[in-house]
Amino acid sequence: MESEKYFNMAAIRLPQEKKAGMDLKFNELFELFCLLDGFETGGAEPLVSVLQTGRALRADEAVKNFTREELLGCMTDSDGGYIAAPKTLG
Amino acid sequence: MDALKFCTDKLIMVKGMPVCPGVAITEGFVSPYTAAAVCLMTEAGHEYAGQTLDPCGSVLSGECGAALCCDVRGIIRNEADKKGLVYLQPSYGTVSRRGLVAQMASADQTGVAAKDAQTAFGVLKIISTRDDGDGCMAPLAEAESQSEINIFEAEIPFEKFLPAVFEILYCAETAGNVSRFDGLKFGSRANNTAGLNDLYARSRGELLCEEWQLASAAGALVLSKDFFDRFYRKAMCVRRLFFDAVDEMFAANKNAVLRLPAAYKNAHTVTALAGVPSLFLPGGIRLAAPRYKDEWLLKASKKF
Repeated sequence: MESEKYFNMAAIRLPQEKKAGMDLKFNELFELFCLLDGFETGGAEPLVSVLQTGRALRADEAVKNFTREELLGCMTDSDGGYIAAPKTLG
Repeated sequence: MDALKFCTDKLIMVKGMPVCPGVAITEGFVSPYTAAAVCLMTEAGHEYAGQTLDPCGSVLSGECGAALCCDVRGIIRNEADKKGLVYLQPSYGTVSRRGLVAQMASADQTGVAAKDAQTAFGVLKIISTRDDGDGCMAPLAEAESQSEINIFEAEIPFEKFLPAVFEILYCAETAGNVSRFDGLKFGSRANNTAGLNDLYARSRGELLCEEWQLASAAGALVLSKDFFDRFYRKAMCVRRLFFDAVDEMFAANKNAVLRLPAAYKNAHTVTALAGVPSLFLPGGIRLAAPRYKDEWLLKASKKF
């Protein structure tokens, strides 16, 4: 299994020196996943949550828990009221 | 329970403290709020001692009386086992997950490492307070009157397949949850990047921890159109069969907890996939109880 495609899908570009080791681990995981190929589920329904309370969702409620200043204070760097980041467009 | 000092592992957030210390991509980012379980402990009069990368060591040394941990992969409970400590993993939905760094959201749950079961359950009593800030809290358990709890041993249903099911679901859910660590919004990023995609890919390639890198890539695989049905959907179906089989096993053994084999390396998969509580005791004793019957584990532990 070519792992690079899936690291790319996950937006991860590994340094060259880590690629071989991670490819090996990825393929070990893939082999483990393949164990399920021999399992017949007999039409069982997927289990999404172990909570048996239905899937009640909370109603959306806008709550302002933090001020902008508080949140920016958690960042490594901010500038003029925004998160400071490098130039991201050409 | 007397007042004690307690610490937390790296996945539990505390206001003003680093998020995931030791993970390069979050370096420099501090939490804007404190996890619900930590708030409940301090409100009950217990002293917060801080974050640690070695919660079991802190308890073993006596520096702390208990450690709150999020141990979905079983690493901390195995460490507790080696150090002769107790580790209590409560039923899923018993303790608020608000303030945990999410990995496998369908199994993430705060557990307790302590020197004895009485202390671990004393802590659980405090932190298992209902919290509307977590939409996945279980209904309140009914008052327990059962006094005599038995112990049984049994084969674990679908044992051979549980590691695969666990890893597929862990990777799928973790991939989604750690996708937020993109080099922009939290902590650190790669230097000298050329454009947005380069920033994402190099930051995640250079700074995300290896475990999360692997989970993200394997999660991308199991959620891709080529493998979704073969792996992800099937894992959820096997989880359903396992969940039902565990319930049947406990139903057939009334008022009893299951003793897992000491040599069984994948005890964490049982609790994670079925949402049942478990208790690791010194000497390789591993007990699991029916969902929301956490107290049975304390009663059973007195037999050892």
